[in-house]
Amino acid sequence: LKYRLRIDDALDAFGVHAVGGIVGGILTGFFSNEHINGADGVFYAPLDVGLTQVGKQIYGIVVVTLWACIVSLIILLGLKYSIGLRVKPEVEMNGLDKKFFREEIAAVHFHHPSEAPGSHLLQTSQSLLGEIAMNILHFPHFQLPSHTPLTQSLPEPHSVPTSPPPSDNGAHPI
Amino acid sequence: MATHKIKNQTVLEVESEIIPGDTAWMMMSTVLVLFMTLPGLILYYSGMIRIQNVLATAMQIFSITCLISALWMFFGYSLAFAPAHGHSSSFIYGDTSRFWLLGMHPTSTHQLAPNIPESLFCSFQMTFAIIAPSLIVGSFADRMKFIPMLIFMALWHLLVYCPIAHSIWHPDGFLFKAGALDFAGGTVVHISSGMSGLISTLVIGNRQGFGDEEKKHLTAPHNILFTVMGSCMLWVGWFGFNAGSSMSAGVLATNAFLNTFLSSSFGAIAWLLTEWYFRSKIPLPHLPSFFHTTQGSQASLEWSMVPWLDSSRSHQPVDMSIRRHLISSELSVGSFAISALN
Repeated sequence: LKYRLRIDDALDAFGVHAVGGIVGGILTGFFSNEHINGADGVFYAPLDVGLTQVGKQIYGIVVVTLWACIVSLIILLGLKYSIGLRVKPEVEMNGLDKKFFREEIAAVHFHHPSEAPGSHLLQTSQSLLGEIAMNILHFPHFQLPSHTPLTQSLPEPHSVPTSPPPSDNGAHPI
Repeated sequence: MATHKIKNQTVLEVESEIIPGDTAWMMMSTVLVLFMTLPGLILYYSGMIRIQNVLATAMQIFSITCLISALWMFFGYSLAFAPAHGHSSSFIYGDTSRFWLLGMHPTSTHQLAPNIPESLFCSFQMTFAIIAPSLIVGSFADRMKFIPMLIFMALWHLLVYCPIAHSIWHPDGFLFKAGALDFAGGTVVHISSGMSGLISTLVIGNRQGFGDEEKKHLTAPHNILFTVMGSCMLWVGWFGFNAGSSMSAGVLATNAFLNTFLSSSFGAIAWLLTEWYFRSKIPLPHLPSFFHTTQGSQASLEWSMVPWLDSSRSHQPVDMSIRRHLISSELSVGSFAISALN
């Protein structure tokens, strides 16, 4: 649905929390029980009493929704037109880690396991641990598509002059 | 038994008694809820974004935790939960009587949690106040500046979270008086943060490459295993979140405990069935298999979370499976069987 509406709620905070919270809040009006929750819902009370509880739940939800939306909107618009909310497009492209913290998860640079710092140690150690680490580094997610501007703007990979050439068909001691 | 008989400072004049068992469970719950945010939410979120933003997102959540803790001590606790004295507490805000935690001494208790020390009640509510803004981070992940994000969170905490928490949970709040029920923050934490997340998404705009098949790698999750681990930690943390919200270690807590467990499981089953049902019917677009797996598991983790939220409303998890227009009659029968437990 979010793709259809073209709203980029990146990690679905709305879909998970607001929708789940609203449905749960309304269902509370149905399932709540005098002994546990202090008021009877539809399933434990006469219908009119229960529906009143559902109405109270909806009232609470509407108030909270409106309040959260309006106040957030005011805060965010104020920030947007004063100091700005969004990073520059190229910063967004390169990722926020470099811009704000000058650090990165090292694997961003790796196009091949042999380019990782210390990978020569892993290769020569030939230990079980080294083999596992090599497999993790070789995980295909770490290879970014080469035709994108993303990789062009990245710095050169770390050069490891002492590292032997990568051996893809190396011995697997496991 | 080192129990202290003390007089509660409320208009209700409830005799309150600090019970060691309740106190121990509530300390445990507090840690569990913090555990949801600190490794749990960080892993859950940072697994679903690009690798270039992992540290930024982790740092956002981490710094929100520290920021809100400080704000909660300075202002937030008093604005949300200042004990009612019958005169200064309004229907939407508390008062200033607990700024800098003034007046909170080791044996004082809160009228909402008469069996645990007020300091522990304050800590427990602090973890809720922390996780609510942390959830919003997911909406604007990948594209927000750091300092404006902190300012937004500070203002959001004081202007959105505290009034809502006061309105619903505090006996002086107008929604509390109206009878709206919220056992463990379904409204206070989740609706408020979800709605604010939606608004922040609308204000800040979409990510580059969003909805564009060609540039799908710009919005692709980088490590689903992080997300899996984060989800597992969230599941564990929900026990503190829900069962701790009873503010005691009694039957209400154990009831919520069981519901939390079952609702999580049933939610995950419901999602699996949905996925299986729809994926087998809808032809998938031609994409590398990587995207199939990641999106499938990402979506499954997210949806499987939804019923947990439902249970945070106090019960009956599994109706979520019905809501997800699901499907099998066995499931719905199971759900009503469980609701009967309550």
